[in-house]
Amino acid sequence: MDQIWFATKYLIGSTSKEIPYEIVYSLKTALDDWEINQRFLITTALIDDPNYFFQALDPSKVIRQFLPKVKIDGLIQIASPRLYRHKPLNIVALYHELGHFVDDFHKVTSNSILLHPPATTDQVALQQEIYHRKEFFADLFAASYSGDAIKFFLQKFAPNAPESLTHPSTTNRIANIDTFLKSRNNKSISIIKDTLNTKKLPLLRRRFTSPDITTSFNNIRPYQIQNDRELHGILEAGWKLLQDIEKAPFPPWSKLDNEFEAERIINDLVEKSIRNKMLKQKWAYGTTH
Amino acid sequence: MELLTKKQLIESLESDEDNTLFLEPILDMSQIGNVSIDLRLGYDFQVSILTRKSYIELSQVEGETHRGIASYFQETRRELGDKFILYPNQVVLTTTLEYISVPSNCYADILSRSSYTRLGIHINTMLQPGFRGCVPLELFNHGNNAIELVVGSRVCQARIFSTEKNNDYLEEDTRKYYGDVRPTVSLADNDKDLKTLNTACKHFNS
Repeated sequence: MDQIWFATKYLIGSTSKEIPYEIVYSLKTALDDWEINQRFLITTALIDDPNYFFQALDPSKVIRQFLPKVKIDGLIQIASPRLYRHKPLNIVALYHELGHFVDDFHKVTSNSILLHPPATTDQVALQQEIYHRKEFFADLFAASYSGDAIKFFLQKFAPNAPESLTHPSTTNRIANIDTFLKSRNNKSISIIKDTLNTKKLPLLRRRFTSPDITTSFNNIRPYQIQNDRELHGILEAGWKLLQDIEKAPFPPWSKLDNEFEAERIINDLVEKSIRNKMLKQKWAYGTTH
Repeated sequence: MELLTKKQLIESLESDEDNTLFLEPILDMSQIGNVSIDLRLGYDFQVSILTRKSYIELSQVEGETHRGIASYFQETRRELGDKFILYPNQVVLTTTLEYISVPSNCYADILSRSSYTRLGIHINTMLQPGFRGCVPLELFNHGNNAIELVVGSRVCQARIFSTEKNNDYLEEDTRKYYGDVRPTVSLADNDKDLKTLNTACKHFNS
């Protein structure tokens, strides 16, 4: 019964034509890197609370009932706050949620427990270790596409979150992301990399290029994304430009009505830059097929 | 004032300078005509809906509840090639597919293409020098039949005129729609004049 409620919630979010198509497009592009040799539909629910989450669903129970003609093997259900549906910089967290899906699909954390068993027999400590490994994997997955963007997101929305049963502290998560992005290793990163390597899965590595958006954005124009690496990297570039403006506003940003305008426009330009890439790709297909 | 021709339009579009005409994406160069550029229907819509309140209130009276204009519209999104039905007597806000930046020494007239005018859809707006954003389009179906529109179809055209002097778009403090990439509902209730008019009305008319 719970699964039907969940599926209904997610499918409504997707079919009401309000979803952030742009970020879903970016997520689909990322998913292509991960040898998911089944047909999954990414559904996004817009929820009215400030949370992001991922929910797996067994397709055989619900999809055939709701979507009898659609040939898909499963749903990747990702939820994000409705308030941020046009703020791609804030919904960079969806890369983290997609990381949870990839983890579940390839059983990365489960395999890591077998390959690198935690040095404890205490059930609570063991459970915590599993949860934390899942979070670390999802963080590194997000960082491999969005770079510092996921770190900036954590710093903004959960700056002082302490360690809990389900999540490592924000401090530890950020330190882990930093270490990964500097191409260094620590115990957590080594365990994940070794597990992926042993299971012959795609590796965690930088899969983005941060484009120089300053010329375009400072002229209040969208950037022309050149390739998939820039598609992901524009999130980091957007965050960095926004931080530069907040530190010391310069024209044209300093001429805007209020401090929120720069954030709105940068988010909009990121969204439009991604959408323009989608439009050109679809048009090219339409003219050649 | 001078109406820019095809050669001038292409030169400006292809220039790397900051203060030139910018249009993105241009899906097909045939959009650029002899004296105009065809623009396409965008993918974000704000559709007017009926609410329990019988009218849209523009004046904001201190101490009384004011229902925001946005609550009279419902957002809906589409993808390239999707259909959108425009019903008779319904206001729908959308934008062009293209993001445009107008040079500070030009302005643009935006008009519906005659094929759409003949269906009962009239578009008539203008862009100030220095404008940035997707062109806001206010769609209204004047005919008796619903019309199926296709996202990405060429619904309107821009005519670009050069002016003698440069104008700074942000110099005026009344810019409410800068850098918009999706339709924004009217901000008429934020007009500063309304407060002045309300104060004058209270003093002299009551």
